[in-house]
Amino acid sequence: MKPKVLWIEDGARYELASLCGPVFYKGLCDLALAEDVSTAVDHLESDRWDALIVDIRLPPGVSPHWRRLYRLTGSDKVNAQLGLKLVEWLVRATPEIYPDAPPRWVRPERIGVFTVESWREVGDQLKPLGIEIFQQKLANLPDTILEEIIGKLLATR
Amino acid sequence: MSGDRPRVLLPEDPRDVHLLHLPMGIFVADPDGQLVVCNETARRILGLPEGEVANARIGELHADPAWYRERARAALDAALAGDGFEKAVGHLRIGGDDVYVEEILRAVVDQSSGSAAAIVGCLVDVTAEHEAAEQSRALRLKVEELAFDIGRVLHANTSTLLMVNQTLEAVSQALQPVSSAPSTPASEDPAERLPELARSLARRLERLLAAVDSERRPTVLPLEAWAHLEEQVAMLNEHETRIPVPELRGSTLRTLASAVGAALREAPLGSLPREATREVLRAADELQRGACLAQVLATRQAVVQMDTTLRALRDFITSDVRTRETRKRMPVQQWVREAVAQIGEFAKIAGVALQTQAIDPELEVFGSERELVRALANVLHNAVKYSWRREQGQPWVAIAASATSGSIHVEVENWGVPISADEIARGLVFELGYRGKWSTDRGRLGTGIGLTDALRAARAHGGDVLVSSRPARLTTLPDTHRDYHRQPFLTRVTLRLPLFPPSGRPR
Repeated sequence: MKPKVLWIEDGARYELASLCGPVFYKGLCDLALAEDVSTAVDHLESDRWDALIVDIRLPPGVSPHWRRLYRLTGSDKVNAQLGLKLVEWLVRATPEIYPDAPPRWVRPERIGVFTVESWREVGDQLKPLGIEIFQQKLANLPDTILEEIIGKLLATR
Repeated sequence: MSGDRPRVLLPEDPRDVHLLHLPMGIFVADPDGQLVVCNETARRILGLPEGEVANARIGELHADPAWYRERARAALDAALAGDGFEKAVGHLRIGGDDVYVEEILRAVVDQSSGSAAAIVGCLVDVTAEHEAAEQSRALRLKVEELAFDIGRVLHANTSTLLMVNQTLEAVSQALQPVSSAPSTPASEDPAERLPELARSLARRLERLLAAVDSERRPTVLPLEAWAHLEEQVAMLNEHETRIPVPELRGSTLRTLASAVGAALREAPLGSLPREATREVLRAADELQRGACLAQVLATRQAVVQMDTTLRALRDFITSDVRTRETRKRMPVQQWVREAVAQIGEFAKIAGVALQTQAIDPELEVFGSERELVRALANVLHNAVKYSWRREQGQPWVAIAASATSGSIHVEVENWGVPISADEIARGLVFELGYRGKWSTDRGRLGTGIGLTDALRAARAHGGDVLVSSRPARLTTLPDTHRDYHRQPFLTRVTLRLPLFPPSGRPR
């Protein structure tokens, strides 16, 4: 059985689609997408994942909780940083972020962050959460970058 | 600051109100600036200890004593000319602090000599207001510089995008299948051909694998390579079920086709059946080319959209910095034509037809051509961007113009992404940076500037922007149902402007 990986990224289907090619071609894992936080939470609550890759700037999706959080931070995914809040909820079970308890199988070492922000901007928030696998999105990344991140995450199993 | 003010006890009889009680500083000085008398407020503003008025020279309390002498002379000239008084903001230096006062000077003229007998002055402390105004001026300058710089950066990026777009266009032409007629409609999606090309490669690869028996295989390629090729046949045949998200299949098939070609080229010359190998390589090449073409076209669409977004952003940021364009009368027909032309390339690449209904050539508006064209182009850009592909026929954006009760209405209607009633009622769609609840579906890029800018331009011309959005088909779903906003909506954005001439009737 292949490991299951969830990529939470609103640009995965279009702008970043070419990064998925090498992953599917090599058949390293079963890769699924969640393009907003509500869909991600649905996936996380209904299934067990071997690795998660999270973007920081995410739209809220349909859940009223995430929509409210999004509104409170100015209805702007750049400021809302819902990806960061999602990771915090998953690691620390913060009810102020989301009332349900996060899935028990979640481990910080299985969460990678792939985002446009630099480590300098978000490292101080990610480090205390135990997130160490981090990659900034840059224009000159190879199309194997997603495969590399997945490889690092799966190696922690 | 009110806590610093001395408490003033007013006399019981209002007729006893004395100059001393006025909340503005009042002083009398001799023509050389020697203070003769002043009230309590002036003494406080000038920082004079009680009883030392007689020793103070008003000019020397100014940061620039020459400035005061100049004002006093001007006050005398004004009095002689019968103009009354001189008013300016003076800069005092009191105990090392900068104090700004509104200073009104009036000369008392000695009629016999025609010179000043005395200067009567009023002082109002405006230090706080002056500093706030200075800060505001500095901030405004900074914003202007920033806007200018951003404009330049965006301008440079637009040139780069032009280069990228033209290169992508050339690449897409080079990748077009040879059999395609040059008149192939832009809306034909090469991604739709990929399953057929994948199956074709699978068939040819299967044929090749069958032609090389298991004994001969290790002499041609490592066994893992053969196993990998077998696996690729399965992937090619099952890619639609193995990769549930259709948009992710193209890059996988491209990678796969490239790898199949590379693997076969590793085989020693003449070790594989020549014709079968040639067919596999040709099919792999065709699949790789088709997948590349689909990606190039999708990228080009994103680049053109980005270019339009950057242009709108640059215009929006620099609109206050630029020299204001002279307003003029303009036929609505011309206005619409220019906006449609600006969006034409983006609409073409997006495969959306811009359908402009006949517009009365007599209809005219009055305003800035650049701003009005930008406002309408913003609305059209959104309409194209938020149009959905239809099962049958090309997606469209309809543009119509009419005149009613003194107003011109230019309506832009599209079929696709919904705007919720709540977002319209709360005016959220007009807020800078706001992106609609349903606008980020299907990977649409955007900044949330378009409608904000359109509204600003319309209001600057005495007009408005109206938005409505409703399900395109009859539905029994309540608007709270989770599928309600997943159906196509007809969204209409109306730019309303005053009719020209303002008589309310077109000429």
